Amino acid sequence: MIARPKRKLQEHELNLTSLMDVLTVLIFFLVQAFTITTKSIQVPKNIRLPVSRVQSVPRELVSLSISSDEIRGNGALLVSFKNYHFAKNDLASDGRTITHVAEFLKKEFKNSLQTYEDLKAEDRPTGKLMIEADKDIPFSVLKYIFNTATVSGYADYQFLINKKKNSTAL
Amino acid sequence: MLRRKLRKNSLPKIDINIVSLMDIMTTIIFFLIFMAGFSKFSILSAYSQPVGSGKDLEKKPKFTVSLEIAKPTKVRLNLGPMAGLKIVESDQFFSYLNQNFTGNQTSGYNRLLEARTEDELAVKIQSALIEIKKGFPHEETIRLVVADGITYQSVIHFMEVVREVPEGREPLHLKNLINQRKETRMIFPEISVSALSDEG
Repeated sequence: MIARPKRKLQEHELNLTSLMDVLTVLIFFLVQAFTITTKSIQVPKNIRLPVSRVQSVPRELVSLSISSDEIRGNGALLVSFKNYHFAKNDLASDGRTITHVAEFLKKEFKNSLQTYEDLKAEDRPTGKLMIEADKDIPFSVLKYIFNTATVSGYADYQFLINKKKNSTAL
Repeated sequence: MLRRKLRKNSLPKIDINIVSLMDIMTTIIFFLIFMAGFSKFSILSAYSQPVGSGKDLEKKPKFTVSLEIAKPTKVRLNLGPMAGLKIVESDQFFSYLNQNFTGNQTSGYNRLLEARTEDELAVKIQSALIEIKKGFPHEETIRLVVADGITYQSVIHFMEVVREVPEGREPLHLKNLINQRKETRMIFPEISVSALSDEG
């Protein structure tokens, strides 16, 4: 009997370099996207956001959180109120601007404008403000916020909402 | 002799085991994709209308449409003066306005809309706005004028109603001034908000 020579198994090498490239790029992209969007949005526990079926990605902005008894700017307490009414000494002489909120927003707006220092005042962009308000807050409170924001340079608002499943009902 | 030659020429074989690295990366990717898909937040954009800015000093005719929200189930839809504005199929448009609104081309039109529920009212508002949009397919802006007692949830609801037709419902079929057709879900996506008490 003649012994057959044993067949050597061929070595197959899997080239993973291109796959690794793609995965690494994908990871960096996802991490970056997360850092900008959802990571920084933390809604205070005492705020129940309204729901809406509108689907848009939130961006990190200067935020005002409005609960049933206080207003916070980027998480720091700015002013408290009772029964949806502001104390007289919390309002400016026009009776429509909340002093501490205006101070906070003006400071933030000034900081954000440093990038556009070279531009003329009229060419500079208006500020964008994120509003995280409790769904039961009446408009009588919100109108003070809008007025204060407008006089402080913020005329564009992004209302943070909880996503609702798409439905045909309005 | 041959062995020595071979040893000299071939470089030592080093294997990098990237299996564990691949494991980690794949897990991270799935985690991030999963989390992104289930992000529960969204945003609705609007801008504010400073008091007094409604009184436009420009003489150029300008399209204005506003929704006055007095109660969650009672609103008034206002259309500004129409003279000098370019309107698609104007005869049909004015015939609709004359039948359903009060007013005229010079002073503008308005219509009171009431319903038993917010959802019922939303349907009425959207139907009226769609007809207005057909006349002005190039216009994007609407003003919400809100009364003090309206809750934030209702404001968001009305913003949603004036903004777009929901998925699952018939989209808008618009025709512009040069007869080009377009299908869209957006009605008036640019929303400005102001207080009813400030409007006087």
